[in-house]
Amino acid sequence: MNTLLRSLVGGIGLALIPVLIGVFVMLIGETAQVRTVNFFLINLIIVLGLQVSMGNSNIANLGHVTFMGIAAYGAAVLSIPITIKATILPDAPFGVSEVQLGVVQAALIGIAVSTCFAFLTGLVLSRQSGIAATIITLALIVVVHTVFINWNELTRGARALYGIPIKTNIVWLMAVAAIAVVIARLFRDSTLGVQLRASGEDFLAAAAMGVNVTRLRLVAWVLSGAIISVAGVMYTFLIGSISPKSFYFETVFLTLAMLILGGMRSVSGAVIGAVVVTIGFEFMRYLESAPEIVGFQLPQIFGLTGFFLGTIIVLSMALRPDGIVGNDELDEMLQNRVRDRQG
Amino acid sequence: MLVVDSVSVNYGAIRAVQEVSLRVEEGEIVALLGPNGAGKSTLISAIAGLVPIVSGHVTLGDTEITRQTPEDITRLGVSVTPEGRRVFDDLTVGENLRLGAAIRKDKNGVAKDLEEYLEMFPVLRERYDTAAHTLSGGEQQQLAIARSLMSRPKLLMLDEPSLGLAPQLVQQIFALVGTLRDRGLTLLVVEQNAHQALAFSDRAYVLNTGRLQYSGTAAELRESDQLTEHYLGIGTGPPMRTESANGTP
Amino acid sequence: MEYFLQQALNALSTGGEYALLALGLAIVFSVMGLVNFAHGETITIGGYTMYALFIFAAPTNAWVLLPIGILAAVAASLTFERVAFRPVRNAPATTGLLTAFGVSIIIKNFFVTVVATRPKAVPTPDWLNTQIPLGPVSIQTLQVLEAVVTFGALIILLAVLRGTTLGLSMRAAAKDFNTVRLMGIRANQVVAAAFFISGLLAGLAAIFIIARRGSVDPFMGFIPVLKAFVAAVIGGFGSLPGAVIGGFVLGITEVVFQVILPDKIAGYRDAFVFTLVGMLLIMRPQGIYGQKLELGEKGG
Repeated sequence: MNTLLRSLVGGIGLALIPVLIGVFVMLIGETAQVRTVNFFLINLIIVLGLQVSMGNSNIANLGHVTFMGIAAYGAAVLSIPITIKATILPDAPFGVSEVQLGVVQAALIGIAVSTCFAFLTGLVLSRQSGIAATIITLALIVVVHTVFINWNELTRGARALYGIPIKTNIVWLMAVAAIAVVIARLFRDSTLGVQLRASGEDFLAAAAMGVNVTRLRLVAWVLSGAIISVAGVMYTFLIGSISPKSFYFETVFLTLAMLILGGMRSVSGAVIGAVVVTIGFEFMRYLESAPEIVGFQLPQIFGLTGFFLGTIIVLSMALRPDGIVGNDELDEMLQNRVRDRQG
Repeated sequence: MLVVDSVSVNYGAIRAVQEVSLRVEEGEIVALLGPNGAGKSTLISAIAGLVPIVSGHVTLGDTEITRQTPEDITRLGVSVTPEGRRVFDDLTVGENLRLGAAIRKDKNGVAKDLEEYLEMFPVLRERYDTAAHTLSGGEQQQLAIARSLMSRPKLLMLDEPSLGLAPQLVQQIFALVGTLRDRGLTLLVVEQNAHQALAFSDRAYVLNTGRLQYSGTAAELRESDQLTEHYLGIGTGPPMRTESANGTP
Repeated sequence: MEYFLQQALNALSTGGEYALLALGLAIVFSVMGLVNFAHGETITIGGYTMYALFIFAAPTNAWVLLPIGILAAVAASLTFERVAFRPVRNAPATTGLLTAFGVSIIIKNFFVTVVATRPKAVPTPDWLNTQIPLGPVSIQTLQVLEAVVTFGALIILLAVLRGTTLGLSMRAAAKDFNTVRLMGIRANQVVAAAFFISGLLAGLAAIFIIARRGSVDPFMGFIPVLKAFVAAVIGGFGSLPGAVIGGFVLGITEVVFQVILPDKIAGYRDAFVFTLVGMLLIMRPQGIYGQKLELGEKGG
């Protein structure tokens, strides 16, 4: 109990980082900066979801963005006004074109569907390890992406699905991000999380102690999927227009890079990684003096900015392979230092 | 030839070897004895360059080899037959031997040596083209030793050559060791089988829990019953009492 | 009947190309345990070198262009190893994977920045696309060439791995790198040899990819390395015969689905292929040719 309380406090402290960034930008930022922070917060939520699965179970996960996409399309398709649907999704299956739900309802259904999908895929994946597991996550994202691109009646295929009501704002994002930080942190330090991390280190030893690794992995996978689904839903209601491209490898690599750079073993790592990469991008973009990105997509990772992202990854792997933050949470490191000084 | 001076080695977080000093003169056979877990293999690995040395020095002739890579140490004339043999399973006997001679440039010399060792170990000639993993434990040991010899080393370190072998085979291996010495090879042999080892070696060192407990000629060690009882042949027995120079408790 | 024969030829041809790609990955993984995501960029560099030569040294004989392209791929591969991978040589697999991924992003962006995002056309000689009638079916000259070259490359690779000391060292290092070093064989040489071969295979693949697409672009390496990765894992990651088998299995599966899917759902081909891949791995995670690893062994 004490550990969880400490974890809660640590999580809340950590959650202050995105919140403060949001408040700061709300007070003094212009539209462009607010947009940047919006995307930062969405990416952060994705990275937190990724941290829950990858950081605890030690398997490279390349398919996490799948759940973002499923939730996004689910919520979008349910909430686009019927008049617009008549034009762009005339032959939608499941009677979708007759229905228009409120944003909250659509969001919840989108998240629920996606999380169910996470559960089903998790049943299979939680039994796998190593490289085979990674390829299966890869297969997952390719299959779902192919479906998005080809199921024109439901998703409008490769073209943009527009008309989605815009309801997300920075306050919502701050709140969701903060909650996600705390959840990720609590999971990491809960019995489940600790056992899962131990099993990542030494599968045999953990199993010998009676730890049901498969079940733990399933829990982590589903929780991860749920968090990422929320990100998908927030994204959809932020930009009002989505296409399969946003839920494919670009986003996978961007969020993966953020997590690895920050340190995948800790929630602090997820947060710091997201912050550093976003700042890096903005700085690069400022140097490049690129025109403001008015487009719909998440930040493009190509161009001079991408060049430096790649360099940062290579350098940090050579110099600091555990990530900027490393294996311990920031508040844990602080505690240790205080204790050392007292002792 | 080989001088190990106050060397300490870590194995993970544990200090596996603590300030051990030993020497091996040219033409000698020196045995490194001690119970399981004494640090003997770790020390050999450290000398061979596979494991970093925390403090102390290792010298081969005039050259300091403390910080050198395994490749360079082998090229200086030190060859190791590792614990557990470590033959290349998927390669044939012939290919294993060929890799043993990888650093040599004299084709004729290599062919001559190969022929010689195939004479010495007939089973290797028989199985020349079969994969190493099909060989029995004893045959693999012969292969491992022959492979180490193919580089024409000045110093050969054998790590537990008799481990897991039938007694008859053990005899054969140790007879071989004597033959090798007669050809001018210097040997450092790690062995748990102390009695056998003392039968063919000139001098011996005894390690326990990472520290050097005793050193002396093989004759001295053979004659000292207490030594034999306390330090050798008793696995991880009761903690050692204080030792004095000649081993009386 | 002819249609099936024709498609069978296509399947073999595609399979051969994937086998070539998968081998490039497998060889590096087998020696060092590194998943070299930058393999695709080695292909891209080979491709752009040929493009640059074509632009700046215009009418150049193809027979001069191609070897230089291959050389560029080899040089790139060796450079990646020396600069990016050597510092992380003994790090865990994830670190290496991400380093490779970082390198691939750098190279992609290099070409985006320095050249352009859009593809650049590379005209291929007409004779490559002519059809050679072969009884009831016909085969492209390109396909024939590709088959011959792939086959030749495999034979040479086998000869090197069986006959040369360096080749033997590579095979030995796949299981026990340290003992190879105890033979006095330099680790750096063995690793460099693996990357040399990998670069060579990438250069060859680049030639055929460009000949087929007729253009180069910064992202042209992505799909090949993805296919290579999947093929290698299907076959048993790290195993060289496995890579070849996996390449053919993937190629044949792709063409089979291409053929049997009705037009309406033809776009779902990749979904079917990858579902099959997923199922194969669920049933047999070690791949077709891989050995079941005991818990705790390298690669698990």
